[in-house]
Amino acid sequence: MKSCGWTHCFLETVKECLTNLSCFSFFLVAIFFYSFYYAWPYTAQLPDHISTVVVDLDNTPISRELIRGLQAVSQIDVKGVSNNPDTAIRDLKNGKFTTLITIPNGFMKDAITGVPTALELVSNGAFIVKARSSIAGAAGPLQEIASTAIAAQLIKQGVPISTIAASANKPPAVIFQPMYNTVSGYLNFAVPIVFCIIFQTVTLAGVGTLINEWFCAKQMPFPLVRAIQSLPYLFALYLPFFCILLFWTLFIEGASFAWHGINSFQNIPATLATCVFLSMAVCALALVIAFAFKRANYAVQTVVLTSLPCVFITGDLFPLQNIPDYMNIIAFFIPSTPAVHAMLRASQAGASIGQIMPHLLHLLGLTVFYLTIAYLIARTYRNDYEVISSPYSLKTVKGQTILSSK
Amino acid sequence: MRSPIAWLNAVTRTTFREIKCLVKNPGEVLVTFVFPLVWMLVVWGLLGKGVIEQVPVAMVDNDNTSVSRQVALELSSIRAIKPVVINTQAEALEELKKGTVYGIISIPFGYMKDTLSGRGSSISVYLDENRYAVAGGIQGDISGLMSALKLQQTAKSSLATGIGPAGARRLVEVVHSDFYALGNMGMNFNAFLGSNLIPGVLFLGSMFCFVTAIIREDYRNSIKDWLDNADNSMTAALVGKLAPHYFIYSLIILWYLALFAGQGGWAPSGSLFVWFASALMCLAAFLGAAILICAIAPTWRFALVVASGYAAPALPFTGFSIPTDSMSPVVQFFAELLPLTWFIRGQSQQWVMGANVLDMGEIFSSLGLLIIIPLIFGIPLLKRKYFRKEKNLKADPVSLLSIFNKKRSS
Repeated sequence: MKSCGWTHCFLETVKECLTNLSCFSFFLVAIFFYSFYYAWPYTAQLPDHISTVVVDLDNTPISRELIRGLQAVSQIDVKGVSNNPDTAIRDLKNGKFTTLITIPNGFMKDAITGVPTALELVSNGAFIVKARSSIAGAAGPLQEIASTAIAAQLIKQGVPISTIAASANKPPAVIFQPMYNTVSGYLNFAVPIVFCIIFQTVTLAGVGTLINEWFCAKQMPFPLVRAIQSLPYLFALYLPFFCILLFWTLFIEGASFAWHGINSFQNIPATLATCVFLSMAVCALALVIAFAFKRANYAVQTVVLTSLPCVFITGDLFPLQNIPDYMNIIAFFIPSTPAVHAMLRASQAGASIGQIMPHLLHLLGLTVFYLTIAYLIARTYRNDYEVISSPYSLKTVKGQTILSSK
Repeated sequence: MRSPIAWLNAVTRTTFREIKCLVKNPGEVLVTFVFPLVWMLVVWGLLGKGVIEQVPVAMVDNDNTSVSRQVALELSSIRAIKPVVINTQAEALEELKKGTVYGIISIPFGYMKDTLSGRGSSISVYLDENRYAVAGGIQGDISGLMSALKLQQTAKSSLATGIGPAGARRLVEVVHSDFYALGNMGMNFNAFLGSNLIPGVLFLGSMFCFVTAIIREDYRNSIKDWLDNADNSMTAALVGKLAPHYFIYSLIILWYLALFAGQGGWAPSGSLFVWFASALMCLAAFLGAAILICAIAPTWRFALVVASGYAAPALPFTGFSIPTDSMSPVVQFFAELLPLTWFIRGQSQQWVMGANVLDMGEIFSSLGLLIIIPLIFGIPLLKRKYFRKEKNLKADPVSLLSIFNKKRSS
């Protein structure tokens, strides 16, 4: 009879994870593939080159100077200058352009004579990022025109030029210093958060698929039979998943982020600790889900669907303080929530183990909680016919051993 | 040649069979219909009012003078900020590192002296750009307030020239910008994320729903029964099987529209019907993709893997977070191969832009292509695969090692 001790259970699970056609893509391919695929749209880093059309109804030197200024900024990409507002509005509705800037008739005259005048900027509110970027892009050139107009008015009022020059040379009222993501890049911001969710989703789906296949097999494989019957063997089943996930977390935080130029491992011990605790908690939850679904083939459908809300429920894309309390209670039981907080603080911001201790303890608590539930669910399957009748059943093996020794 | 009536009869029989299957499978109903609905409501409830408010930001006043306190007071009036007074810069940086605050507003030593002497001084704002969305909101609010304060100062100093209050007002307003974020003037996150995330969740759910319905016949070894029921017509079998699922998802999408445009108050400036029509076309595109995936995947479990890989990460490519304009041309081209991208565009054209139905030509024709192309390839491939399976039903469990071993032995 084939040996099926603790080590064999461990090795068989590793082998199945890496070679089973149903789940090898989750354990072997998915995270590597996503490390490029998910980062792909974000490689541009900054939301810029927003397609814009300018309607110049003034057609004066100042309006043309303003257009030249708008063409020079990186946030917007002036695709065309038109004198016909109707065509421009039609193009905006067609989706040919995202932003429409209108320079009103009499803009130069009003600016010179001190009559209030406005540059009209219309953007699509469905995409906040685009809208903000368009405002930022138009603000600079407009500010220059506005400053010149104000200065001209002040000179008219008799303010000495030296005073105006001194005012122009003043330092800016506020200086913004981006921390931990110094380029204010989208890749550096979105990818570290989303990858914690990807680790979770891929592992839950992979473990769910493998264990479901084992439950559905004609003869239940011995790692599963043993895991159901004995706690140490449950760890023999759990440990391969943990090792594989730990490998991938280290790969993403290390090699992948280095390749993409995302700062990571700012505090090495804290990042390593987070990777370990994240893997522990996620694998424990994966066992619960896999055991709970048993022979129902719905683990992947259920788990993958949670990925999108889980990203936003962490409170790092939308502030935790503004998320309703009942949502935070749901978030509390999802390992990705403390994992994202701990990972961002340790790997990107350089927080020490002491500083992320509450998140690590949270992950540890979830690990213990989910492992206990997994064990309790597994216990309920001990008297299943497939388990008892399996040649790998601990009871059968013991019986055979006793008989042979007699 | 089968007559159209016979074909319709086959479709009807398969539809009834499918409905019976669903009634007998509450688990599948729960996973494929109820869970997406629950997550839709979770996402809807997640963002609360959709406005960033009272986010903790450290306030370090190194100057501690009347002017610095005045500026701190003005900054405290920003809705997004809840100032947390911290004595030193080092302590504030530690809090920022821990993540307890989203930023630091630091007023330097000598701020009052430099401001009043005319030299000018700058307030430093440190923002946690790992939480970019929040940091961006705070940055916008602070720079807006500081610009307003600067204009106020200009107006005050211009009064000394005898310009008068009306003149000072005209001076600061002389050239300004009027900004309109159509459809979402307050830059509300509920409108922004709700309109992108909820369709993302629903279409992902629909993908799994269609794939699960098809592969169910595979893992239950009931392909023969299914095809016999449809008089061995693959098109009738697929239409009959997927019609109930498509119908239920159409109702779910209607619920989303009612929730978003009705209860949420984000009413369309265009046509709600055209908006719904683009959603139905997108749903059909996902249906086509589901058939193609089931046809090409070697096992039914692998079909689920491919479906996840195709539909789950599609959202960033729609341009809802980083704009498509900023992406490289290759990424832009790839994004246009995904139906969700076209739906999100179509939705914004109806909800925000009020586009005429004739202006939606590009969107409808692209979605049409994304429906037809997978069906052209998917139906014959699935037919070939399932009719073969029907002949030799019992397939050996497949593993990579077994494939290697087979190759080696051959």
